[in-house]
Amino acid sequence: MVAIEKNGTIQTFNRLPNEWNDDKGYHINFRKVTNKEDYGFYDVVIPEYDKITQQLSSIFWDADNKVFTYTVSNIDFDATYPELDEEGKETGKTIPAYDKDKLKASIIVTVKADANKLLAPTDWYSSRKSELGTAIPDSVLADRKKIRDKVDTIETEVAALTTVESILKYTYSFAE
Amino acid sequence: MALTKITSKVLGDEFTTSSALSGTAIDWTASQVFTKTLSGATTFTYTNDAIGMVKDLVLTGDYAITWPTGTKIISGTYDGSVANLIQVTKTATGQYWLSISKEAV
Repeated sequence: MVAIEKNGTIQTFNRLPNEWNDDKGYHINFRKVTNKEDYGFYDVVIPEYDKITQQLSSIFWDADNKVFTYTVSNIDFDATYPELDEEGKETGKTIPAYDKDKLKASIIVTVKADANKLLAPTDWYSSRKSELGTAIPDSVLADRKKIRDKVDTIETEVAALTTVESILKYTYSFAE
Repeated sequence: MALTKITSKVLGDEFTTSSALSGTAIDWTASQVFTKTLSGATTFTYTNDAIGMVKDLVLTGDYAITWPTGTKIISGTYDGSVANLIQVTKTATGQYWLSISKEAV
């Protein structure tokens, strides 16, 4: 990635544009230039960061290293914002920016949706049994139970999470 | 006998000849067509250009090309792997409209 500062605004590009117009003239086949710095283009350096718990600043020019880059800062998971009433006035209460209960509930909704997708192909066994009384094969019952047990396990694990970071980083898989 | 019609026979070199461009300065009165194989990044300049004139350049070489300030690309993309026909029209003082085309394969 490269970037250039023009009139106080930093413009980024995945790679050099193929055409570029500046006070030196109109450049075509511009990607072939070997001295992009002469035209004001410099590399963009994206520092390593944890995409869940950290965030990047706005891009800025690092004159010492002659690159465009970002600073990394930790996300404030304890941040709050003022509650507003229906008229848009502050009520005096604060609301957490990250609601742990809502985040947990969101995970559980997703887990159950995933479980339903896994159960769906064998749902017909259940319908057949209720309509005709035909027994569901043991292997099918076992597989379906395994899925439900996994949901229970995940729900327990999610309920035990205490920090926003741990909730955001929580992952699960139905695969063995 | 009075000349009543302009024919190509009376046109000067600037309208009827093609020449290999040795440097990067394009004298618009020297030829109608200029050819050049680029060997590195190239910045072209113009001399003797006048409003309304149109010049043709056949360029090859996969290098960056810089045209004078005031150039506008109206169509086409330069392809360094083939010969490119570039037509430049001077539309106003310091303004050049440029189109790029290449052989249809």
